[in-house]
Amino acid sequence: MKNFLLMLLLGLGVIFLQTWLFPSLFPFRLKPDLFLIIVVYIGIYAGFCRGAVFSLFFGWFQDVFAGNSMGLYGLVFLIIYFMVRFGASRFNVEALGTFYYLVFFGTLAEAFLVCFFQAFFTDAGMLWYVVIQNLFPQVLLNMLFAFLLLRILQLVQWTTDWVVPVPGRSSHGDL
Amino acid sequence: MLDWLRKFRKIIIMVLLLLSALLFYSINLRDREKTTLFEKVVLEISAPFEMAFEYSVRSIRDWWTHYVWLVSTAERNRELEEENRQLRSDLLQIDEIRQSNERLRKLLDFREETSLPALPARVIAEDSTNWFHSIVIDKGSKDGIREGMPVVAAEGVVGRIIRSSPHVARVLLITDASSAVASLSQNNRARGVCRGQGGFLTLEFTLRQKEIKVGDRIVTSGTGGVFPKGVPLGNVVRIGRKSYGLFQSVTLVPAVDFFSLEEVLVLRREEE
Repeated sequence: MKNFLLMLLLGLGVIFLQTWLFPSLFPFRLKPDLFLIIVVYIGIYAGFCRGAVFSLFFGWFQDVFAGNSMGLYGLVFLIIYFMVRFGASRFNVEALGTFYYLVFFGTLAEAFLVCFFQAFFTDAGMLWYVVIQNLFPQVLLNMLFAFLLLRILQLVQWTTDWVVPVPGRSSHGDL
Repeated sequence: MLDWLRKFRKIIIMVLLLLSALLFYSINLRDREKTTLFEKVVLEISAPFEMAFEYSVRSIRDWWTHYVWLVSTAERNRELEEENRQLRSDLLQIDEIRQSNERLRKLLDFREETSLPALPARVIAEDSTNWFHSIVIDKGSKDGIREGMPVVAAEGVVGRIIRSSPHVARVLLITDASSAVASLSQNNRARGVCRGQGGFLTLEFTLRQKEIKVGDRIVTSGTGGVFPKGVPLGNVVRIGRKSYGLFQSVTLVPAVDFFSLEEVLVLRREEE
């Protein structure tokens, strides 16, 4: 129950930022994909089943406010989560760069998977063109917000007793 | 057997989860026009927060523009008066055209088109990604809004309702890549299908021999079953006509400025 409430609150908070706050702050109404960054993070640190459920749930949350295909992001985030787990088991996740690499490749994978599933299952029109147009700013924003997330987590670790694993620092536990 | 299951436990869970997610996605594609219970719950939970924040920011912005930002008010007033004079003279001409149009309609025994009842709504949120284009409005099924209803603004077509919960609804904008609107050129009645391309639109399936010029206005044709006839979609900014092929490629700038869209009108069909 506690985990479900945490997921719900986090999901609502991210949705509020992405659908309301960020479009008013950034030019051309651009917004980072915070859910993707969180999926990458939990891909590194969360337990196998819990992380998968979180990813699926966050994907469905994204689906409620994005596009016209319920279930698309649930599937895409789940695949990215498993890809990140596969990558994290082979790379040194203690290195700060690994987290950024995973966010970078996660963004590219997300773009590819969204285009692939939409083209394969629906009449996606020129979605690939829209995605390519926005891919570069999307990657930049995601990297910037990955950096900010790490800073916030470090701050939380320094100022509170809450033990949170931070990439680039020795992890103190499993989420 | 148990050992085998234990050994491949993670792979089995992974495959099952992926298949379930794929199944969920494909099942929902069959009923794209329906709002699922999950969507309704999430939209309803988030609606009060979005409305509250939207209201507070609007209040601050109104206060700022009405009472603080008065530097250019005199200049703006003069411009508006001039524009008002121009509009008055235009209005006289339009009135003349309207009267002659009415006479001609009577002569041709045209059936009067009944205008659809419109419900004003406020934009309270946007799409959560950069790749799709949709908005959330502060009216829902309790106000009579249903999936598939057309949404317009004073300048032209905005999109159509794709999801509705009791208090909010989501609108798929015409700039979204999956949007397609049956349309025609206002000047020469050349038909085509308007598709979203992110920031702009393209007119597809318009025959090469049809003469379309830069600046032409493209409007809805009314044949798609969603939008009424004659609502502006955009203006032509580029035409590509090759020496071969059946169709020409036409690029449009949307009539509505989606970056500053705040209020919209939902057109309610009679049967609904």
